[in-house]
Amino acid sequence: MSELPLLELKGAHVRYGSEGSGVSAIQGVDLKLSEGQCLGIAGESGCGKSTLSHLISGLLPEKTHLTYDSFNICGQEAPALGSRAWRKLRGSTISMIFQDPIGTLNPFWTIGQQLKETLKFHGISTTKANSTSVAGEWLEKVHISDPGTVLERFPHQLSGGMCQRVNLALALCTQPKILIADEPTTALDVTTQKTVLDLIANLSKESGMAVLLVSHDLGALSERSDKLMVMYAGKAMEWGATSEIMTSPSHPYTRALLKAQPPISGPLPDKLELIHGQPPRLSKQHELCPFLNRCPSSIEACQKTMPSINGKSTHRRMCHLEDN
Amino acid sequence: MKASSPLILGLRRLFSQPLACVSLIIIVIVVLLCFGASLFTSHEPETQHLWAGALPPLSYQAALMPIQEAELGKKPKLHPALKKFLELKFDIQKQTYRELRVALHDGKIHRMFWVEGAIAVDHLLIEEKDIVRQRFREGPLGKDLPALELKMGTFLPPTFGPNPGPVIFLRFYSAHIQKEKVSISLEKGLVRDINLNGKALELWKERAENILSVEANGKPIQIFHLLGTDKLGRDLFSRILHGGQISLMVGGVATLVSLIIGLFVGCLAAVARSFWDRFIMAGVDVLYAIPFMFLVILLLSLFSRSLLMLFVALGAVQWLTMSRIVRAQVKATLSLPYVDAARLGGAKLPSLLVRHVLPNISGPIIIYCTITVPAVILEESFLAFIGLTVQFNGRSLDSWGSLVHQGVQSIGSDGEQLWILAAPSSAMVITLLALNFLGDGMRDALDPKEDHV
Amino acid sequence: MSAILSVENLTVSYGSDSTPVVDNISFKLLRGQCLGLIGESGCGKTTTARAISGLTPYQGGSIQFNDKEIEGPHPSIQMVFQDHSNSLNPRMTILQNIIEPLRYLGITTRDAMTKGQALMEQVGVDLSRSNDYPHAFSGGQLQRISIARALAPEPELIICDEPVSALDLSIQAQILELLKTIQTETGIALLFVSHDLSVVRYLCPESVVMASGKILEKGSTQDILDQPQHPETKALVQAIPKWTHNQS
Repeated sequence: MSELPLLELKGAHVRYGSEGSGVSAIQGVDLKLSEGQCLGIAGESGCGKSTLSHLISGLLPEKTHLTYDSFNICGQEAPALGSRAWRKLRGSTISMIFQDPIGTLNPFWTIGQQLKETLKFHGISTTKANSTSVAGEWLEKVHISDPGTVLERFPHQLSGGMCQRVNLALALCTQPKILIADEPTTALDVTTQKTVLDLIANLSKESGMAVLLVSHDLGALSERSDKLMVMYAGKAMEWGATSEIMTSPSHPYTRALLKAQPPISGPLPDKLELIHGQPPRLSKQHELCPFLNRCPSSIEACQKTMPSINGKSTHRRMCHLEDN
Repeated sequence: MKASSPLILGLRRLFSQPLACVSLIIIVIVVLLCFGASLFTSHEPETQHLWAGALPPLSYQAALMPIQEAELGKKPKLHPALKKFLELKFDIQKQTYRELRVALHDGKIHRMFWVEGAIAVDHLLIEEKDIVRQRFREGPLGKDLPALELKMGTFLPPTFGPNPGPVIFLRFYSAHIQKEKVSISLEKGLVRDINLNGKALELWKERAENILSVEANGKPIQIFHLLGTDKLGRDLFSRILHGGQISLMVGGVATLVSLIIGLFVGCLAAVARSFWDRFIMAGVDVLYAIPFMFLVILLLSLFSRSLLMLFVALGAVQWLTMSRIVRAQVKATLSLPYVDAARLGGAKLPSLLVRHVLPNISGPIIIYCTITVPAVILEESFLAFIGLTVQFNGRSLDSWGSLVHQGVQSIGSDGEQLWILAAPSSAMVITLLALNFLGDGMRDALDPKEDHV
Repeated sequence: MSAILSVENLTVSYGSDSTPVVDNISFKLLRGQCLGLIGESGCGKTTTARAISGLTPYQGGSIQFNDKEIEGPHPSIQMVFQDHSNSLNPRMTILQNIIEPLRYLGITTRDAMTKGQALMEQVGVDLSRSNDYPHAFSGGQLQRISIARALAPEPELIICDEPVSALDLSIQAQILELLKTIQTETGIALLFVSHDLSVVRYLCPESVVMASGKILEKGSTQDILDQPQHPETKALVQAIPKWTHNQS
């Protein structure tokens, strides 16, 4: 497996609106994704993870103020926002699936028509007969038991889980190198969530495809991702190998998040440890650590400067506290 | 984040839109002008100044009545503007005339006679030096005629135009212009003395057509017409303001009628059981199929043409869409959790509707009303245009639509007297545009999706 | 402890549909108990909750509350809903929203306002914001206000229909702790409807599992998790992510 990163982003800043009154959705985020890896992005609402996934897939609106030190996809510099070059990248190199399974499919076209349109646009199969059989094959790959019938169905006739599998087929039939899954299972049942996430894991292992999995479900991320990045208010708080972060979280926010979940096994705590206050909704440019006002372990240094990035190479964080 | 009520937030959004603000100001000005008409103009909309005819905008004329009368010791019959003065001077210039009537049959001259003495005439030659003017049936004097010949049994000369009517009125004015100077002095509102060219008189009567000017204390007393007059000499500004009262009232009240009926039917359908809901809405669908202008015209023709009837007829036409909107909104709101919570608290249906549903559906309903008002005004204008004006005590009340109709009829062959059409049309266009832009602004401001930042 | 709620052979169907949404289910809720109602979407748990609260009529079986048949909404049974953005009347202040149930109990406005403010303190909402409108509050705060409203008529049972599913993780914990505190302090019974087994495990010692309108299992939540009897329950338990980290 090659070590060349498929995706490399350094120092990304995203701002909506004007200098004084705008919203800084992302403030200085680095990202690296290699072949066969699954990178999980965790965080609550307003942390900027959705903006990040839109940034990487080139879906940010043209007027967005975006700056970065470097942004490379498969070794080449990424096109500018709104450029037509993104259309070539999407589908062939980068594919996406989103949160609302039924809403992301065209309600007027059958599943078959939508699959065939994608196959035709990317030149994968051009004849009618060929595209029908290829479409059917992909439906089978995502474990849809009766592809022939489903090809003739409309999105509203299928369940959420079925639609999300169709979306997965649509995303993968062009055999992209990177799959961006932005909260793919939030709207689904627990059993369906497992099915979809299993499919993503298996299919990516087969083809060596890299996956960027954005979710607020830490449990799912802990199981599925190799590397993890925990975001808060537009900045990355802690990132590195998932197993290391989960066994010994070193950032107060990650720790608090993990403690705030009722455990599924093991002894029941008397009280859940609360993080008081709420996640910030509109982010201004941070001068200090954004978690300061809610952090249970803040020290004097936190009131003075933005924390530096420290930690070992596989497990880094942005915090003033000593790593124990 | 400011914690103001949704109403205040909505109003703030509305006032942040310049077009909506300008439109609101325009509408307020129009409403104040029309309903405060008597404050802004001293003219009455029906007062005719036939002798003056159609005057262009920003013109003056002497303060006159059709007939001026002064009798010693009695109150004078003069224009109200003159009554406060003590000394009045009239400058009179008139020509005596004889009137000839020409009756036509099948386009040919059938009978001709002098009105004075009823003297019949067979053949008449009009020469250029004669001063002849053609008088229209109900209007002021028309143009001078060229030399022509009128002979019994022959066709009328083409000078009189294509459709001169069954009877032609011709006035032969004498070459001699009579000039008179009359001065009248008043004391305590009664006539003290009358002086005609130096001679004292006890009684004086004169027609407005013959009076050139009126003076008091050496200054001419004139009345001002901001927008001119129509062909019958009626002040156009006053007519537009009074006409606006009718148009705006119809717009407002008919919309109110449609709102009330629509709310009632919509709520009924929304809370009724499925069968009755479908029944009511099927009824609405059937009513939609009826061509409404036709129905309104029928109603107005069969029943009275009073203002009330117009309100009812137009309102009854508009409520259908309102009921659909209300039903959809009420149904959607009834399924929301806070209505369930109110039910759990013990609220019954009337309470639910009044406290929880209606305040929250006001947005779309207000928006629909601001769209309905201009539509109704336009419908009423159409009715007035085709002649179905509002009637009160047997007389027609002219709304903007009738004024436009009259304006169209008044346009001369080469676009003269254009202001009689342009003024009421502009008033209507400005008001309707302002209402529509305000409606647009309200739609943006009251959109419930905007409430969450 | 006596049963305040007794559901027997409950059947609910919509319209002339032959398949009932809730099919012949029976369970009991004891006074002061917290019972979990678990299942995936479409299993009928929300319909069951609505039938118990009196909002949705039922066609078969009986629901007895304090030994009386449920015929409609009753102030003793209140609900907290999942959709926090639509749980409060946007045109009323939050204090007005909270004391709304008290109107129908014949309590004067002044007394109601005092009670409302006490409730705001109990759920942890700043009193200075009594006259603010719902749009100015976050999801977690809105749920607190909904809970305050549910507490206003002093109910004996509060049904929580997925109250934390739409909230951020850090806020979920706050609301769960609030519910737990209220339950311990006031002794109100809680029927907690959810699909999230870890949350149900934390709050409810006993649970009922539903699927396709029927009850699959009922009993101790821990037993259901450790030894699920029904294959569908097994699938549900197996689908829960196994955390590989140390939480304590």
